Amino acid sequence: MNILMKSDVMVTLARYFEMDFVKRAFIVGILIAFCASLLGVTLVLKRFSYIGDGLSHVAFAAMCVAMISSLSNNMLLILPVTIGAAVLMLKTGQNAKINGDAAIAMISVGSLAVGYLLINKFPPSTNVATDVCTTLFGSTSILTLSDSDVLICVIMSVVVVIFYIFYYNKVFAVTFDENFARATGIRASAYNTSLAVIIAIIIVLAMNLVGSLLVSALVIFPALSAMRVFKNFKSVVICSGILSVICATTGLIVSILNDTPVGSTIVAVDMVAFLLFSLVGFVTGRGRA
Amino acid sequence: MKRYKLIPLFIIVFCLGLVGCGNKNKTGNRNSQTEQSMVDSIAAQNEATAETTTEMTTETITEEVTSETTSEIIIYEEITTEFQINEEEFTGEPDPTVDIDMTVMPANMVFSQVSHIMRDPDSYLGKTMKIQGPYYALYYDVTGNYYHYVIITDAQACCESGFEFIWDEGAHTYPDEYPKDDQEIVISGELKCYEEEDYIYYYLDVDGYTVVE
Repeated sequence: MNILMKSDVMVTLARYFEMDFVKRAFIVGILIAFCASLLGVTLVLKRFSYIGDGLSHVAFAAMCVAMISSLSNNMLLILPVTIGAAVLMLKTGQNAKINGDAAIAMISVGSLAVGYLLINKFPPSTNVATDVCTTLFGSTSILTLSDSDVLICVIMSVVVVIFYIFYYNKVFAVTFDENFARATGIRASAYNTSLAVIIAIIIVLAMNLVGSLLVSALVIFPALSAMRVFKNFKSVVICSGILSVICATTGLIVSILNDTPVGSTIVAVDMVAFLLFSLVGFVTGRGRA
Repeated sequence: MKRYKLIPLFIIVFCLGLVGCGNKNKTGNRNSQTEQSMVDSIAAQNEATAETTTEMTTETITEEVTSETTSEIIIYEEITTEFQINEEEFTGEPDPTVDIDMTVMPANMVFSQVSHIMRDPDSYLGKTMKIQGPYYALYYDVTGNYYHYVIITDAQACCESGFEFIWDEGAHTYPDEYPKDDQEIVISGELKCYEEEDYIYYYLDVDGYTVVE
């Protein structure tokens, strides 16, 4: 009976994989999950986990404006605004009168409120709930990508991966000790700015996969899970990347087969993985550092 | 100096507000073929024609009550092939007589498939499809015609889109021979297109419908 059910599931999956939009969803989902996890390690170690959340809210506001403005390509507005916000958030550090985390929280909720306010006041369609639901929670947006969405995602993902591979050592140095990095001649400020730009790109791309409210989970969960078991930077990055891809793929499959929202299903799988890795870390003693 | 560092952040949020004030005019026709447009049009038209249709609706209801919906019963008997979509059929094999059977797909997949068809309809022209969903009719006062749709929603009923269908090339009369609004139906037919007011519309050419109890 079980074998029969498994075979039914496989047949159903095989049938869905013949559809173009399902293939696209998996390609984009895997790329976004991989890129998000790469940068997630750096963000978590630099204690900037909450920046992802703040940026995703800024991106939501920008998306609302783009939808209202009926832009041919929403990315034209969302990407520059989010990159600008990322740079400012990272640059506006602890020295400002309003400190870093308060500034991020302020911008985060402010953007969310402004975005929701605008989309209600100037609705791009008669169904505001649909637009908001899709943007905030991803809903089925990963399954309804256009060719241009996929192309942009592939190009941006390649840029992120190339940056990470080529500047791995510099990123490593800046992540752990900026002062030491500066002392060794690394332009820490420039790399921080580059990281901010890359983070913004990933956040914007990841909104397609899980929606703007759940983006942070995609960034921090794989990194945190990997840190439960591994203790050196390289192992954590590799484990985080693999785990994130596995979780995204599993989440997509579960979502398609069980008719659950894609974004929250992927995040739920990420949470399960975190619990499993925490358990493994506890049992092996690695998670008690 | 330090206190001014947050000013650019406020400027971004404020600018978002300013840019958002730009476009509040939205074309109210049924021509933009996005996945949302059909539902939007229906909602807009329902509001616009609410007063004019009230009288007609009342008459229809009265007529139905007094004549015990004779015409509808006859029609259902003629066109219903006595099958109902139940749970077994939903999880079963797709209908081999059509290219895309959306009655055996989960709601999210159906919504995504329909969105894809609406985004790239030319790739699906000539293909046969079977879909299930609540029926809605839209009266468009510019052409003076009724248009008929099956509404497709995702699993959370958060996102919606309307799929137009034409029954026997419009030979049947509305509302006598059509289902009631919001009644769940299954339709099956070929994807075709027609031109109206310089726009191309895509629809399912069907030869009947099945009411799902």
